[in-house]
Amino acid sequence: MPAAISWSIIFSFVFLIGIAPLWAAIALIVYLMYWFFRLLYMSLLLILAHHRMLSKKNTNWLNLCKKANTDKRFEDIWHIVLYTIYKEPPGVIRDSLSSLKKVDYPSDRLIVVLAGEEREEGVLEKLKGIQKEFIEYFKDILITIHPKDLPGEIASKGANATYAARYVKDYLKKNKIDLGDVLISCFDADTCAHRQYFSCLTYHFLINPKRYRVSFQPLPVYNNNIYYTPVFARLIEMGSTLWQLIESMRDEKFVTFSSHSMSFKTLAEVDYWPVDMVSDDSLIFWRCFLKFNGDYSTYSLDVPVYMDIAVGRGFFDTLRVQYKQKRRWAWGVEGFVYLGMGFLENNQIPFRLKFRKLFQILDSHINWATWSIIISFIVPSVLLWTALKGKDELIFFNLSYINRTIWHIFTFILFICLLISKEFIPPRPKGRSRLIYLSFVWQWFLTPFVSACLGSFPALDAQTRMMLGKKLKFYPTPKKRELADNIVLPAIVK
Amino acid sequence: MEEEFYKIARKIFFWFFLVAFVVLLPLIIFYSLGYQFNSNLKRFQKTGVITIKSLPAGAQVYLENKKINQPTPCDIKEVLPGTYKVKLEKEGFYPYEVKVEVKSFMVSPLDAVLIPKIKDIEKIKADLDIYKFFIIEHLFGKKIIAFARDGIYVFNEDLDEIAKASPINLTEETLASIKDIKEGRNNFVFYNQKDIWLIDYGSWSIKKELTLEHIYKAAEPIRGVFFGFKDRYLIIQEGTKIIALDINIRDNSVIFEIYRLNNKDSEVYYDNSSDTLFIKDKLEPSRTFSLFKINVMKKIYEKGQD
Repeated sequence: MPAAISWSIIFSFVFLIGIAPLWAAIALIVYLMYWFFRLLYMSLLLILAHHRMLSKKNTNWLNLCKKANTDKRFEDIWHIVLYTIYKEPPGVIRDSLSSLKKVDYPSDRLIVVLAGEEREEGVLEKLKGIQKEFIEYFKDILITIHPKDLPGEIASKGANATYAARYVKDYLKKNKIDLGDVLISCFDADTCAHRQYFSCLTYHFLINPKRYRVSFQPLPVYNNNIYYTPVFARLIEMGSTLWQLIESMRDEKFVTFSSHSMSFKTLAEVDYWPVDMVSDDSLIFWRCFLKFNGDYSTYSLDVPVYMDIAVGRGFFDTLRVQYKQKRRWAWGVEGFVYLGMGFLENNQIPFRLKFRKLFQILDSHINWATWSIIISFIVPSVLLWTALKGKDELIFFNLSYINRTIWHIFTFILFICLLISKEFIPPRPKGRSRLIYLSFVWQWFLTPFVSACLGSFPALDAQTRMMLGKKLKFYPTPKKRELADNIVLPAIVK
Repeated sequence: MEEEFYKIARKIFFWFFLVAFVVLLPLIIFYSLGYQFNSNLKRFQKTGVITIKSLPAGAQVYLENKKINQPTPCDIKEVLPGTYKVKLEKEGFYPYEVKVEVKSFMVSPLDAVLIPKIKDIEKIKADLDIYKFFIIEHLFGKKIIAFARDGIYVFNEDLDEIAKASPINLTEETLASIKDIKEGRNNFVFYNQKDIWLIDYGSWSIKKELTLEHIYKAAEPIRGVFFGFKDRYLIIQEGTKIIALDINIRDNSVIFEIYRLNNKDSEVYYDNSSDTLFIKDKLEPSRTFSLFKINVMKKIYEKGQD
């Protein structure tokens, strides 16, 4: 259904311009006006979110945890930090654990899980080496190896994480740790936690009266290797970070994405992450949402986690890697089917809420697949076509005027993005010229093109594949850094 | 408390933009179509737009003698259908006045080129006694060749003298009779009905002092001269003869008659880039002129293979 709608929107504009140009112009004006207001609204949300982030920047979350007066005690809380690993170089995992050992949270309450895949040759030796190196810094480091080709599973991050989480449950039981006192953070292998991540997470868990009905979402900042990536990859990932910042302002629409945390008790109640679907990060939220009859939400944490920008072996390989990664993200539209099926079996969730949630997924995925194609390609093509045809109708003249206005607004928003993105740029590593900062500025002018190529096209691709009944294999994004394994990137020293 | 602030702010923004969208959208569509609300008549009126561009830009616009605040390029919106007098004024240019018809829901474009009022003449050389001058178009600019009593001058576009051939030993009558000038790779030729002269520029840069050479004296009136065969030859239409003259051999010993026209009113054009001779001629028994083409270079290759 999403693909049918997306293609219908795109083709309706194209056909309409041939059959009824006047109506096509009216439709495009409606569309542009919708985006005019939507972009203004989103830019204000971005400013608000940024303001909120800055206002909490200097908060001492650990102190707040210690002072928190709730039914749960800070001292009772445990953290499972689960890294899903598949073919990431040891240096990437070491960087993640190095950042973890620097967090301000008591290290004896942190249990690290290194969840490897049997499909990766030599994974056990790799993880054991890392375990030996870091064991002294944490309460424990567990290693799990997810067997390949288990029945009912696809090769995915969700299947690996679920396997590891089941093992952890046994471990917790064996150590007589109450699952209700345990928070689990499911991180990608390259995730470097902010120094106060676990304090902030714990504080919000403690003070939230509905702590078992909420997932905690940090702001994913893709900047670990920002100085070593092609400009388009940097731009699209910076865009993802800013988009998450905007989303964090819309509580009722906010859904878990990538690295996230939640109560282990809740996770066990919903039977962990889906093992046969690609978009495990968002589906775990919808699984909880269905399980608890709509009484589930995602809370935006005020501290970020830092991750890698997906890169390939060169410029074009990075383009390929980015495209595949974005297509995998866009496969999150499967949540529409998952939720729709789930709603059919659930009579407890009010119809209005069901409708809102389905519309929310549909709206976000259809806009994702269409907006930049329409604004970057279809509208300019229509204007060019009318100019070549010598169309003198006033509506085309005004369409051009409205289009220009939209682009002015767009430039203004890019300027806001540029200013806010400064917050997420780590110190320049040695050996990198200052001139790179110039590319950090002009990169924003590539937005229309990049957002179409690495935004709308992969989303449309994912939706179309789903419509045609094709399966998407889980694409594990290569985590590769330009520097040697033994060099710690400055970005993670935060 | 803080969280509440952000939630409330977000809700205010959301509803503000939603209401703005719902309220403004129909108005914007109506406006885009060309409807305007007339507050005096309290009803919508159909309008059109006049878009005005001028070369150069920045001209003052008057619509029915009423000054428009914005200079060109500009758009005059919300114009009721009808015919309007539009005037463009810019200092140093003649006023441009035209009637523009405005139709409802349509754009009436006006694209004007303003003609300057010429007051000063830039003098190339005040004291030259010029008989004839020609302009040679170049990829890298223009050359102005001026034939004066005391010599032949070559000027660049900025009117600087870059070369001169002097003395030239040409009479006033000869100078006045020059018909045309043709440029080759490193040289140019000029001719009248009887003679052809050549001036060599030099291989790399133009020599300051040029030498005039008389290269051909015709028996019949010269009607056209072209460069050909990689600028090595001159293709000359002399009366009814078309001859090829090797200009590198200055004693006229290498000269060929390549075609003879059937009529004295026949014309030729030689395309140097393709070495093709285009001919307007009459072939017996036809009484009318037809066009013919001879690809001379192709003939060379064909004959070479024979």
